[in-house]
Amino acid sequence: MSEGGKFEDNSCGEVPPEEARRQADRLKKKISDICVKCRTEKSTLLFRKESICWPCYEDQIIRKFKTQLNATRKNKSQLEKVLIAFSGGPSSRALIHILNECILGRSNQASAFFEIGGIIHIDESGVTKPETAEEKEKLAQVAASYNIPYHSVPFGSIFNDSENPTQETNREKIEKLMQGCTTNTTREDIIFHMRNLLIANTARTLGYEKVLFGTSASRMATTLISLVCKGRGYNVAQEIGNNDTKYGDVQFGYPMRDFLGKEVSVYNHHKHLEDVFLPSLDTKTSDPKFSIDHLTESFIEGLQVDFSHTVHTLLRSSVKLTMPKIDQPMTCSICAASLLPSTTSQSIGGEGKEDSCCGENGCGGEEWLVVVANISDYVCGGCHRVMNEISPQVLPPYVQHNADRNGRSSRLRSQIEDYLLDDGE
Amino acid sequence: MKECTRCKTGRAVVKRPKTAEMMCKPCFYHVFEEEIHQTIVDNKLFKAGDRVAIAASGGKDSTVLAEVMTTLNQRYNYGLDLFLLSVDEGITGYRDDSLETVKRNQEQYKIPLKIVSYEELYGWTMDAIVAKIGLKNNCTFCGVFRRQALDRGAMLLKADKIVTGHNADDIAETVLLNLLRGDISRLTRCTSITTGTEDALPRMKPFKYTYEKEIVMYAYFKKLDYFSTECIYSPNAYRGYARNFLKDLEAIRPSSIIGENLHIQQETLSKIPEQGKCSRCNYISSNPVCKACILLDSLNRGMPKIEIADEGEKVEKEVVPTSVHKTINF
Ligand SMILES: [Zn+2]
Ligand SMILES: [Zn+2]
Ligand SMILES: [Zn+2]
Ligand SMILES: [Zn+2]
Repeated sequence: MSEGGKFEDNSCGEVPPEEARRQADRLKKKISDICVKCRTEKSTLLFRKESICWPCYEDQIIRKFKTQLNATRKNKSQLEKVLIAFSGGPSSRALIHILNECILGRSNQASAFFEIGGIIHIDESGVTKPETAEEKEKLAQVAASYNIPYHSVPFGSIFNDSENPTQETNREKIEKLMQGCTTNTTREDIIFHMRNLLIANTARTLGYEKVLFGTSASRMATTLISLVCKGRGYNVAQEIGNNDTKYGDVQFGYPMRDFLGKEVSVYNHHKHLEDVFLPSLDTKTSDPKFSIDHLTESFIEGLQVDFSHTVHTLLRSSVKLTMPKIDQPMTCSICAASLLPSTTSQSIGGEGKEDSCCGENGCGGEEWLVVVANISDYVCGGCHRVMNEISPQVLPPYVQHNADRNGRSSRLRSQIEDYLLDDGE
Repeated sequence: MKECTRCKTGRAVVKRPKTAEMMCKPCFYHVFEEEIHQTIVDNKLFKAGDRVAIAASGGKDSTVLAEVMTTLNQRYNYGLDLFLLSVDEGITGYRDDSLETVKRNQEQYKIPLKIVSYEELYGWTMDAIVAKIGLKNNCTFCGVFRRQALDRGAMLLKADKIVTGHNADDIAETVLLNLLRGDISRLTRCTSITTGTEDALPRMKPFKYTYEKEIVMYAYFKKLDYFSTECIYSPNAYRGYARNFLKDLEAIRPSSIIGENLHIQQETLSKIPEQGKCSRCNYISSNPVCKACILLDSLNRGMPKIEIADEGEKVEKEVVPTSVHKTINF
């Protein structure tokens, strides 16, 4: 039995989709060659079912961008110096251009509130095939063409540990990290979180309080579903919300979140903005079940083709999901998500009996079981699943440091617990 | 021979999808039932003396539900007054057979059975509805009508609570669909283990943490009598997509979605309209006229001979005032 209801619920007075399409077609025929916005130019593009001219398209993009950009502002009276995260992809490529344009002249408002301090790129050589000299040059060139300082940070620096330097190179450690994961889902999952952590840490070191990401609506929607599927539903707001507090003093913002991937492509094409294609783990796969991220991406893409409101509906859902208010939360040792008080990672995930080892043969002896227990006690629900699919010894040292710190503070807390006044609900 | 990891003596015949433990049949039954008992106890789903309607469709979930509820009620002296409640949608060939199964369940578990039909509640069978509107939106009708039919039937029979066989997989599917349609209020409701605690009859989902595969295994090994055909009117594009996705997801990482791991913005929750009553049928509704009545209206508009007002009044009189059934959970 299932809880009734279905998507195409036309009973509530909404116009059925076919009807809407017919209306749009009729509309299109009527004004097929005149832009519906300015009503003077010839229309050449279709934007959200309206045929418009290029200047009006650009105008729409800038307008929607500014709305989203404004939504990321925390302190409304201050000028914010931002760092832009640049993956090389079309959406973050467009972000650099649009933000720069907004600040340089098209909008006095943006220039009064924002200043681009730098561009950061995480060089994932080793996770995937190493970046070529040509690719490195292209990436740096993008920043240079806007006169913006460029920081390329190697992914391997996530392993940097001033206390215990080792002989192994970071590249070797990345290799071990990738080999130590038993699933592609976990590989992608930890790369995502460690990349974000690196960006946040670098931003903090460089003195930034805000990083802007080029994440598009399509990507956001995919991320929402894949987070939920990976047991990270509680942290949706922290991962893809504006005004998140995941990394404490460094805030992530997503001003491109209103745009579909193809809308960005159209913009980049007209503006001759070239992105730098860098392969990801699933670039070459033909297996639809390569990973949860990969599967989710094709699921949402497929739905979007048949139901064009899919992505934007998901975005509306995502903004309604929040983190519960937690006073001085402990944070996940791996991904920095807030841990829920009074619930262990087990009950966050809602799954029982995950504490025992992975159950596969050859998963090691007691030595590392001690380490597992330690880290596993201080990870979020999503990372708890990660722990089932990774050999803990390949994790970067920061994870153990965080777990130790969490352990100390929870021991301290338990000692003084009786004297703490409960001001919660 | 593979040895059972739990009792170390029995022959392992199943690998539990939930924990990958190898188990013998008796141990599997035991942990399966005990986990559900634990869910019931931890969430305080029932209290002694409760009159509980088991939503019985004749399908595997509800058949296992009837088996487990009667078993646990005896084993732990819950003191529940159990009965089976079935809804006859009036779908020829589908419900006829599944209702036969439910009738056999009634004899097997020695608990009474009450069948409420769409025809008596709404004046329409699903067959008649499909004949009228075609296959386009019939699942909307069926879903809305079924939800009310269970409540109305249970109220007529003076039940305190309804238990449904929604399992972890169902809940995952509902979570996904509600995210996809942006239905946040339903998203909240579908993930909670009990719903409708205000004015409607509380609904309990003791299988919330139970994997569908384990329910199938339980039914299979116990040779439970169940009816296994999808509703013939059921397939719809969106749900189909979602199901395939979840199936693939499970292949990648078993039971990935857990319904509980979402948190809804407080302001959003308070914006959800207060539950009032339908002015036509008196059923709990957030709008002046409930969805079933609106749907009925649209159906009946094409058929002037059936007057919606009469039908509504008739139902209204039959429905026991809901306030009587307010149950305090402990
Ligand atoms: Zn125009
Ligand atoms: Zn985590
Ligand atoms: Zn056994
Ligand atoms: Zn009504």
